Amino acid sequence: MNFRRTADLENSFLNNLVKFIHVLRAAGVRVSLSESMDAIEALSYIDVLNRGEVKAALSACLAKSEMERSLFSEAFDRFFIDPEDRCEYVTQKAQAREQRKQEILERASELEYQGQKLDISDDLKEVYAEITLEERKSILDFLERSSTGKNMKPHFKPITENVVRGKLNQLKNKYKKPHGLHCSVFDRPVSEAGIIAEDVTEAVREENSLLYQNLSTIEDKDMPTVIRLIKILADRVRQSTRSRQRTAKRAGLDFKKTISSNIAAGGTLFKLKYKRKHGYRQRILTLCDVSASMYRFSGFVLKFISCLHLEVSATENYIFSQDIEHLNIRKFSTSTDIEQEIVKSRVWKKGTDLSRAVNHLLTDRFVTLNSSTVVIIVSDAKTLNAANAAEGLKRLGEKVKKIYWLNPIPEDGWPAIPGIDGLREHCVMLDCSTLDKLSKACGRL
Amino acid sequence: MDLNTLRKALEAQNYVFDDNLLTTIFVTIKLGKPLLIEGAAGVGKTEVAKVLAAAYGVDLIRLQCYAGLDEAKALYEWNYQKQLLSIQLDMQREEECGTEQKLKSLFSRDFLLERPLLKAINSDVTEVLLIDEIDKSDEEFEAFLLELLSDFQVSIPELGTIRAKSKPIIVLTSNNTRQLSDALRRRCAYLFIDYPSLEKEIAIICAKVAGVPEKLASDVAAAVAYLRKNDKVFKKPSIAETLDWVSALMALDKKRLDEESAMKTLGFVLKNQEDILEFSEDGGFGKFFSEQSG
Repeated sequence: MNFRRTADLENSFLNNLVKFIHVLRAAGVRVSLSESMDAIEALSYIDVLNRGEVKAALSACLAKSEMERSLFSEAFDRFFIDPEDRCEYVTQKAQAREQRKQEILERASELEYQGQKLDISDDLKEVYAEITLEERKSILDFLERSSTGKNMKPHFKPITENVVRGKLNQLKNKYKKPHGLHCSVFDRPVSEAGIIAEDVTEAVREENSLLYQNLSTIEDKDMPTVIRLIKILADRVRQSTRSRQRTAKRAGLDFKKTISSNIAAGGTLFKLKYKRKHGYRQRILTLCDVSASMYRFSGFVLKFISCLHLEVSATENYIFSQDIEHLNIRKFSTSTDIEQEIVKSRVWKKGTDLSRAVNHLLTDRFVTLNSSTVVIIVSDAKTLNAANAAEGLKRLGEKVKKIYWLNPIPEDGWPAIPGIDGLREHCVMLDCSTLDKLSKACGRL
Repeated sequence: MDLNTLRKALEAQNYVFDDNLLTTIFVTIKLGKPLLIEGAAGVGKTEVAKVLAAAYGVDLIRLQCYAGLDEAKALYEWNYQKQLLSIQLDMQREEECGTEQKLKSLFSRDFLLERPLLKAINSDVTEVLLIDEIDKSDEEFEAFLLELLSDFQVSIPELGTIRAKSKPIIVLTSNNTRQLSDALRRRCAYLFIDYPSLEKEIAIICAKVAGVPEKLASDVAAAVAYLRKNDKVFKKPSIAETLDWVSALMALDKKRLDEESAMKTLGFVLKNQEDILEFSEDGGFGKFFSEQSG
């Protein structure tokens, strides 16, 4: 009997641990099978009734980076509570979500054209349920007029649907949360692991809210933190270029030097001399868009250019809008001076024509482009002559090592930018709409 | 060694630690896994390995990583000069032996120069191997380490696979200047050392600086915590810098920290001209001392 109880206890213990690992995975912590087994083994060495020891032992085996450690800690505190409390909490949340879904569907059932329900996505139905009474009334009035209007045929339904979809999409953008964390209730999880994981990620994001905030909405009071983060990123870029510069590995044997240095030993080759490969020096060329459409990101772009320039010396900086200008900022030693120089330039807040900027780079004899040049473009990709710009990028790509494009517009907004697909074909376009995404993007440079 | 014995052994080394660090180290040793320690520079990552070696009463084998480090420096190298001398001696003796046998003898363990990694796994006793600042090495070297970290063995083409006689305790440290691969992380247990709390920092100061006045220790710890919280300070002061600062103030015969001496010795905690300028322009320690006196 006792043995059975112990076995049951062990089973429930293991069950709980496996559930916890599922929560971690759902929260974005990558836990492999071998790590799970290590965690189980680790628990056999400690006092499992000591919460602190269990947390430390599991953390050592399951969380393998600073970010994962934050997620782990939050998940542990939320998961290892009284099972009844946890169950009640999860059930309540799941029920609330289910109820909200029903409410949305019920409200959206008002959307009819001549007695037929409109075929719109769940996402837009949710938007409809969340908009103001006046906005809802305006859509219903439109549907009423369309349904009862003169010569309105049933087969006009798709046209009406498209109009309503357009209106709802417009309202969706209007009510979009600035940090882009909005998640449809239809996509939200209802399982235990999913609900806890979602709470965990939201809590960690709130702690680091600045990292996940859209760059255009960062306020002046947060600028010191932003500058610090950009400096860290710039420092990483500097470190990576330096290590690449210093790595000069041994190549083949240098016979001439080997023989001459061993003459003293009677020609016996005691000391071998190797040829050295030339250090590989990576140069960075930045091309930053300072046009009117980028104005809302200007605070970020200015800081990015100045910090990168001050931290990484091997950079050439250009700014562009309808034309291009070389930034001769070597004479400046503070970021404020650099920012003032940019604001005073003739390209500040003008229209955008990337093709002219790229053509200038390709034809100007003072611009060095070779296989060790990495081009970083910071722009929202809203440009005139997108086809010409794509062609220019293609030619630029043939001359340089790589072109990275840091786009401050979130990736889900890219399809709405005309001509962006052509540009993406010739560069690696990275979403840097938040500092977190920028940090990940810089990790790839 | 159980948890309490390890606790006592670390305490005997005058090492200030919390339960989280102790449990992590204990579990790592029990699992026989390498321990990857991350954290800002100067928070005491390397110290963990040193203290462990002292606690176990073994030598610390240290491999300092840098860009361009290769297996010849980290694992092994053939003693080329010794091989040449051996060939010449054989020629003088005019001994009759087959070429294959000669070659075999030339690439035997007698001609192998052991570097830190090979030395650690060839040892008869459990050694502590510190692979310091792994993030400074190249990605190729990191990949090369995977075999050692997962199977405690290395492959030498001429000799075959050499397995560890006794599994070493491996400690890897990283300042996170570049992202380490997932493969390496998966093979290690993980510990993140953050800047210490105020109480812990006071305890560290008292443990490491002999004869420090208690008030000075608490003043300095509070001032350092104030500097770390300041967003304008880019390079946050580490524990090592705190200890240097305390020593400098003691050399000036200070019993407590005051604004004037703090600003005069600021270079011991802030190692960056831009930080010093930004901090001074922001009012320096004025707000800190007014809060303290308030």
